Amino acid sequence: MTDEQARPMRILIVEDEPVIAFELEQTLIGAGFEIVGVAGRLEEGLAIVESGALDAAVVDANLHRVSAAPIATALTARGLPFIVTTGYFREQLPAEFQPGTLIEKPCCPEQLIETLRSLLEPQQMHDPLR
Amino acid sequence: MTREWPTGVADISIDEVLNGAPCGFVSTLPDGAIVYINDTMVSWLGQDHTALLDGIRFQDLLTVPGRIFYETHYIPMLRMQGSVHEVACQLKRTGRSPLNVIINSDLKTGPDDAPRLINTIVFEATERLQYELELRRVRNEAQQLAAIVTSSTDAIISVGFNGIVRTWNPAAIRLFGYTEAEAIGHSVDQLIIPDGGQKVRLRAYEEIRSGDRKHISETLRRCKDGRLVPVEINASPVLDNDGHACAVSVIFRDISGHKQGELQLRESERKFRATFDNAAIGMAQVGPDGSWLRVNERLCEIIGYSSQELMSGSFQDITHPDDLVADLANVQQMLDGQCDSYSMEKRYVRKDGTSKWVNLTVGCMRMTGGEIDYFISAVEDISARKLSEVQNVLLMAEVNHRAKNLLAVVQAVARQTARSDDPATFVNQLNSRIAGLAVSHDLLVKDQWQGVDVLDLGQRQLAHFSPLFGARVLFDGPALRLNAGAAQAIGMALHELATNAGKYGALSNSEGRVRISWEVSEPQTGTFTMVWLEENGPKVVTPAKPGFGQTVIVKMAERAVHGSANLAYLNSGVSWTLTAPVESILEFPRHD
Repeated sequence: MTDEQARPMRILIVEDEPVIAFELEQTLIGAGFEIVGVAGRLEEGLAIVESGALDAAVVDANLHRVSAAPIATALTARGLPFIVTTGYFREQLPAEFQPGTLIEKPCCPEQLIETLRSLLEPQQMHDPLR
Repeated sequence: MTREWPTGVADISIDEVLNGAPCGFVSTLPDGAIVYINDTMVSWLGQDHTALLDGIRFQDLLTVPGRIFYETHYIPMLRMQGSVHEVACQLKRTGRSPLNVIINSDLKTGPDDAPRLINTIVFEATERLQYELELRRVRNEAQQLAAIVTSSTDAIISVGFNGIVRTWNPAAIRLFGYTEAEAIGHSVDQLIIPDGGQKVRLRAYEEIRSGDRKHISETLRRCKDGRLVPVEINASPVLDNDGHACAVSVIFRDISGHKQGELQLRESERKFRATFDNAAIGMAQVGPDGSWLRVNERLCEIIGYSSQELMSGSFQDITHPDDLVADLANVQQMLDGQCDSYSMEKRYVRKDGTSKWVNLTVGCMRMTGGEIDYFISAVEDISARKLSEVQNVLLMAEVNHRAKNLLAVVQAVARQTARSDDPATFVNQLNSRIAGLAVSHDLLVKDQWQGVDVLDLGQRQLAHFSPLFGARVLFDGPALRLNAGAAQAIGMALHELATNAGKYGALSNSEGRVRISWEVSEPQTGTFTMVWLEENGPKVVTPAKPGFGQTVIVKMAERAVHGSANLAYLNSGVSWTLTAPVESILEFPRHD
């Protein structure tokens, strides 16, 4: 967390597993981020992305058998960086997730926080990592 | 005895008669010296008449063998018998080839019985000799033919048009079992024609009588012992000197050996055809250029084309483009003689455009020169195996995904437990929660991730209290299936509630009760309600600081089912109510 920032970065959590979502939410709040929403379903996530009130997202690729690919597409369209968390292998992910940064489940919270911070640094904004 | 010369020729002298005769006439002395020779003889010899009478001997007119014979045999025989007839010899001729002649001589003796004169008549024998030569040749030929007939391995007989056997060779004896004596002079119908075959025989003989030959490649004839033997027959007319058919020559070849071989071949061909046509795998004969020569029904089923459609094209036409290069490389290796078979998994494109995975095994038949006559392909439908391979890969990926997801859940639970609860009880708390997760997971797997029955879930999460079921732990509600997410969340909530009840609530004393009830207002669109109600427990104490358990029971349950949860610490006991829309909590049969 950079001290110069006037306001905390706004993060959307897209995760269908309540325990994980809850834990992730607490971890990110603890790291100084603001959680603008925890979406367990596709429509909820899309609605928050459409609202535009966010800086980045942590997206579980799969929401109870439903692919979260449309959320990835919406984020990419808005130029918003995002992390993809999944238990699947990279090759199994649909192409829509390619602009995101992949972190495999289970992941270490510190790695997630560091990745999120690096994505939000200004020089990285237009260079989506893989 | 004399007769008078006929009128008009009385003036012809004996000399004129002798000179004009169509034979030679020579008179010699006993030593051979010529004293008279007629003009016919002189013209044959082509010599001067007077020179011949100048001491020339008859034997000097003959070629060397004739002269030797004349001197050593002819003269002695003449002296003994007085005459010699019909002796063949050759006359030397000036500038021409010797003349074949027949000579006859008479010996004239004097009153003292002493030889005085030899009169010799010479006939030209060119034609007669030729005739004799021809006769000898024909006799020879006839003998050779007879030898051929006798030694032939085919039965050869001749039969008159009346059906009576005239000749019967040794092979006929061997084949039919009748001796020559038993056959010749008897009716061929009674001997070897099977019952009812006479009409056909008669018709055939009529055709042969008009000059035709008959060939029957396969028929039956009867042997002496009654056995029928398969034979091949060639029959032709026997012509007399005038060229008329006077009999029938019949040649029988025993083909029972061929028949046996042919039967075996046919049987083997039949078995092969049956195997080919009815094989459970697809089979085909394919030309060196890839054209289908013959296909079986199973192959047509696999590839989805009729055999006619297939035969008009080649395997290249229907091989999946991604597999064609590898297939053609294999074919080329066989064409080059580097191998005699290959096996590969490949795809055909069916008529309906879909791909079909097959295991293809190809062998080949080569001609004597080594070039490939045709390929033999066995095609096995492995689409089910391929599908299951794909499904296996997907399943493994899914298992991997779920395992990692579960680990992530455990990780979150561990971190939450560490964050919210007493460090002294961390290990016990964590173990208990992991056990709770495992129970829900078991149920999900048992029902193949197709939802979990509410009662099942409740009983399993409270299995620790199963002796109290029906008495102090009461379940009440319709059979409903929770979806995976709801089952996980509600399972965890029930686990936390039960743990608390066992430690501090209605299940911690000897008379408390827990009622767990659930219902839906409308099956598809209504609201699901679940109530946990404790009674008769010890005095309820509201916890000072909400722990992770409370988060699970309220906040996480709400999120998981998009509903609302209420936890109340009533005087009568703890009460928990969860309500949620049916569509976000129940499992509905999928239609995929």
